[in-house]
Amino acid sequence: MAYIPVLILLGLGLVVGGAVLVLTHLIGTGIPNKKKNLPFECGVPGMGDARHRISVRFYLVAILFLLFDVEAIFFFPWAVVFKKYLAINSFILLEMFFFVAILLVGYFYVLRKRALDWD
Amino acid sequence: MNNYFLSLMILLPLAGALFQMGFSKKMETAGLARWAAIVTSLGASIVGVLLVFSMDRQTPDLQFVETFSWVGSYAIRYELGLDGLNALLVLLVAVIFPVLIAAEWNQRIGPRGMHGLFLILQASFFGAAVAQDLFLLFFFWGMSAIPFYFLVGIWGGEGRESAAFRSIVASAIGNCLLFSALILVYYSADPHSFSIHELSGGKFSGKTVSILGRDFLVSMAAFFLVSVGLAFRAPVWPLHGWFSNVAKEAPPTVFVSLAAVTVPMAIYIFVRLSYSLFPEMLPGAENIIVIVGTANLVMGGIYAVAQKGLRLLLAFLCLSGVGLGLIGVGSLHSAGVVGAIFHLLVFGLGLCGFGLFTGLIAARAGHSMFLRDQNQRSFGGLATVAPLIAVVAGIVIASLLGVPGFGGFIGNSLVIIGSYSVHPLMVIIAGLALLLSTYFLFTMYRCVFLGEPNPALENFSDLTLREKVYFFPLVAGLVFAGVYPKPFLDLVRPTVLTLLSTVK
Amino acid sequence: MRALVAFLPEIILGITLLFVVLAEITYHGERTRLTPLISLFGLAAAFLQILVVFYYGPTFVFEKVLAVDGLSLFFKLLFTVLGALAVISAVQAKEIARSMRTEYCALIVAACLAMCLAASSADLIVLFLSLLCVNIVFSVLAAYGKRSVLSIEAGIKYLMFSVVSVGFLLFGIALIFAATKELNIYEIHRVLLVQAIDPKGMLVIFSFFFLAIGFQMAAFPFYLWAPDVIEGAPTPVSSFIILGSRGVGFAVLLRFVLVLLSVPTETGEGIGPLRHYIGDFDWPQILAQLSGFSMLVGAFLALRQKGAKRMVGCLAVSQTGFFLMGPLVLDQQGVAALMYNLVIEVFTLTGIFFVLAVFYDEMRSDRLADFKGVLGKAVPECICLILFLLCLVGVPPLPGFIGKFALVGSAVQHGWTALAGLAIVSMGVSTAAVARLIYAMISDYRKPVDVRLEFGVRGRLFLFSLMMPLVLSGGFAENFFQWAGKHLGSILW
Repeated sequence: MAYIPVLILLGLGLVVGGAVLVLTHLIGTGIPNKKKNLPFECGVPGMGDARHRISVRFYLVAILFLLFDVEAIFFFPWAVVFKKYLAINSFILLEMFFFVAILLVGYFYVLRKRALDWD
Repeated sequence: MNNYFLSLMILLPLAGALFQMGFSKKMETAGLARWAAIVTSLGASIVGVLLVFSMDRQTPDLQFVETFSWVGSYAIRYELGLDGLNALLVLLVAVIFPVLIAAEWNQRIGPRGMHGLFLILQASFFGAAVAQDLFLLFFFWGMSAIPFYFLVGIWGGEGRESAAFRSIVASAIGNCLLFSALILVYYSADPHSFSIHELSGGKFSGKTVSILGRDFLVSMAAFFLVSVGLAFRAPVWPLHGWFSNVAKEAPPTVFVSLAAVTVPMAIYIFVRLSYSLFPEMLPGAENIIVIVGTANLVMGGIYAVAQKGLRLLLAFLCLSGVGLGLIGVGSLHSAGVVGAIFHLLVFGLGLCGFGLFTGLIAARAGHSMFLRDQNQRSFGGLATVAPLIAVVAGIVIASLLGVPGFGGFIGNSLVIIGSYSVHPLMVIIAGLALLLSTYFLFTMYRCVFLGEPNPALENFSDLTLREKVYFFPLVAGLVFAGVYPKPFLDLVRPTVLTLLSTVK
Repeated sequence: MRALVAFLPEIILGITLLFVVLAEITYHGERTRLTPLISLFGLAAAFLQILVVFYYGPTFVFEKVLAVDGLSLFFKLLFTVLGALAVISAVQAKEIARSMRTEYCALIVAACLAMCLAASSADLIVLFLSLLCVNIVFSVLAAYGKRSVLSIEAGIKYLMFSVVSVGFLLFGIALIFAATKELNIYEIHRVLLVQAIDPKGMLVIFSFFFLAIGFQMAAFPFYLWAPDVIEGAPTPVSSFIILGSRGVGFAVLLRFVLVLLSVPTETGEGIGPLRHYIGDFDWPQILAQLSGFSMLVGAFLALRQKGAKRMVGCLAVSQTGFFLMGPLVLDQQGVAALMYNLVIEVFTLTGIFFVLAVFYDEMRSDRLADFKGVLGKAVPECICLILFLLCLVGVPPLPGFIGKFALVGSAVQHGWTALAGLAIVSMGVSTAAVARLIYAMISDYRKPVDVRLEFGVRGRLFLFSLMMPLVLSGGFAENFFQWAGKHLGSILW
């Protein structure tokens, strides 16, 4: 019962979207032109088709960003309980040092293998 | 009290085989390697022969027993022992293998490998003969199947690949069936045990095993599996295809080790297992055993009559021998069974002699077909050129035929005497088949040795000293067994009588 | 503190991994000889530490997330030995180029670490993570022969299969979590004892779990990757993958089946025979059918292969079918037999692939037709290969036969006679397949192949060190069974 608005929204979305499509098909003019069918590139003339290969460096940078971002995420729970455990023992700081050290070795590996170089 | 002579007998050839690997390929040490091989083989044989001759003739029990626990969780014991049944087989193996190594003295291709493989075969056959624990028996029996693959595959003739493959497939099937029987027996005994004497005496009567929901009697299932499994390896008539294939392709010495040793060993294992473990099945199965034996004898004879080459003649002769042995085993009469065991020894020696003689002829003349197409003789009159070979061949053939004065006569007559009272019809058929063997063996002898000397065979040399040395024990054994068989028969009889008493 | 001591083997492996990675980025060129030594040293230290941990007795570590008990310690020992053997055999082979050797060692140590974690995981999330890590490292390793099309195909195949199977594992974990609200295996066991899931639900969950674990083990419907990956990957890597993947699969299966699906009796010194299955879900029937099919399919496929590595891969599938009889029986004897077989297989398969690697280096091919007459060129090594192959198949004088007999025997004892019959048939068929391979080596002995097969002293020493455990394990099988039984008793509840 509480989800009726969702159903209404779904229905409206379908109706509006469908109506636009159908109406443009029925009412609009239908004279295709070669220039009208070109893909839109912000007004400048097109530079050819989109089939050239994309350099793998984008992928490498994205994956490495992902890994180190997840590392950063792991800082948050640690930070939340840091103050409480610091009162007992300073071991919690050492734990985080070990964690960062492991990932630092990984970072050095990435640097040395020149995975982040752009050329 | 454990004495370790039986283990020594088994381990010496194995050590010899390992030792062969230590020699390098250079020709200077090759001579040394083969002397090492024959010394180890002879050493083990001498131990075996001494043990057999020092056995006590009065008791049916196991002698020289060694037993200690090997894998306790599964009640596997390392148990060896000599008694009447396997004494003659130990003698057979002890005589044949040094003779084979001496026969292959001048092997050019991979001599250390061949001698090493023969030594491994000797060790495994000794082990299979004296093992008293089912697992150990299967261990050695399975071990004996492997060297044949290499012996045929490396040193064989043109079609050696398929012959070796067929032999390994047949051996694998036989071993698998035997293995299933073993496991069935182990798990049906209560407490679980592999030891033959613990399992003997009809422990399985009434026990059933359920496979996929249906119940089978343990004894019947296990007996069936054992028989068929052994029938694959000792070729029994319908399952002999691989055997004749190997006969065509293998070098004669290799085939001798197959025919003259594996076959008697398989029959011995059949006797040991069925008499000890399944005595209640035997009275029901004896007719089948005798019928199969007679069929083998007859079919072996029929196939042999059509042969023109010595190798296949040997193969089918072996088949007939299996038949006679089975007739003796199935008679369930003391003379019959004792005769069958004695026949195994004598027949093995005779086949060995025949096979080596085939090898001699093949080596000297390049082939072993004694008749060409249109019944033209390819040899002829060898008796004038090589009289010693003729004499030796004559003695061997006489023994195989059962001529009085040689061992074969004692074996054949004991089997016939024992079986006649029980299965007279089969014995009559067997007698007729023996007539067939007379025909083909005499024909072969006539074609090869008698008649006009063939001019192509002028430089057919007679036996060299080495060959005389290795034929001597065979011939002497056959003559001695024929003239004075009493010590051998006395060895066998007590055990056989004890076993037969459990059957009745 | 005790938790850290129990966890020390993994810590040691992690530190070794760090050092190896550091070594890779600091050493260039000829100093790469140190890296295998570092990794071997680390693996040996982990091995010794595992032996030490044995004496501490079973514990839970890190709030019951990891279970350090007899089962996991045995598998950890196995994995460290496996890693050491993989490093040594790669150093001798030419398929792993010198410049890539350090990275290879790092990958091996990483895989060992992940496998050890998977073997001792008692929490489903840790299980998922470590299995995924193992699979990713293996797919990288499988694609290690970068120039070879077969190798890249092997890597992609392994990656695809593993990702899909781990996805299904995750689905199964989600289902169990939804049903029981617990993630720890032991807590789930307690919940299920009180109120079991419906058998149909259990069937779905079991099939999802078994999809993942069956992929790891190369069991029947999920074995399709095994021949291709074994053939494509560089030869030292093949042995590591096939052994490591199957070891992890069995470790996880044993713990999963023991804890989640059954209620064993606890006798004084170990697990007794099973009492009943949780929720009356008859998983042994499914496992038995899969085991039987694996054995037969593997053996018959091996018969038809024309390449040596593929044939050994198919034989490994058949072996998996055999080993599945261990968890089927699940009493002390069955699991001890399974462990014995795994140990023998480590040495056997490593030896086989080592000799095949040397053949491949010289002859550039592992097709059977190219093996003609190899026996004449390198006699002792070929004899070793023949013995290893026969031991794999379970031919009598070799310890493989004792292992197979133990497994088949336990199956018969618990009433699975038809399965035991299938096992014996597949032993016969795989003997015939191995006979084909051996024949390819011994044929044309008189005209040997025109290549030089150099094994070198180090190679011979390595082969000898692999043969020794085989020979000894045959004689000392009894001791192994008793040791395994004693330590299996310390599986945690």
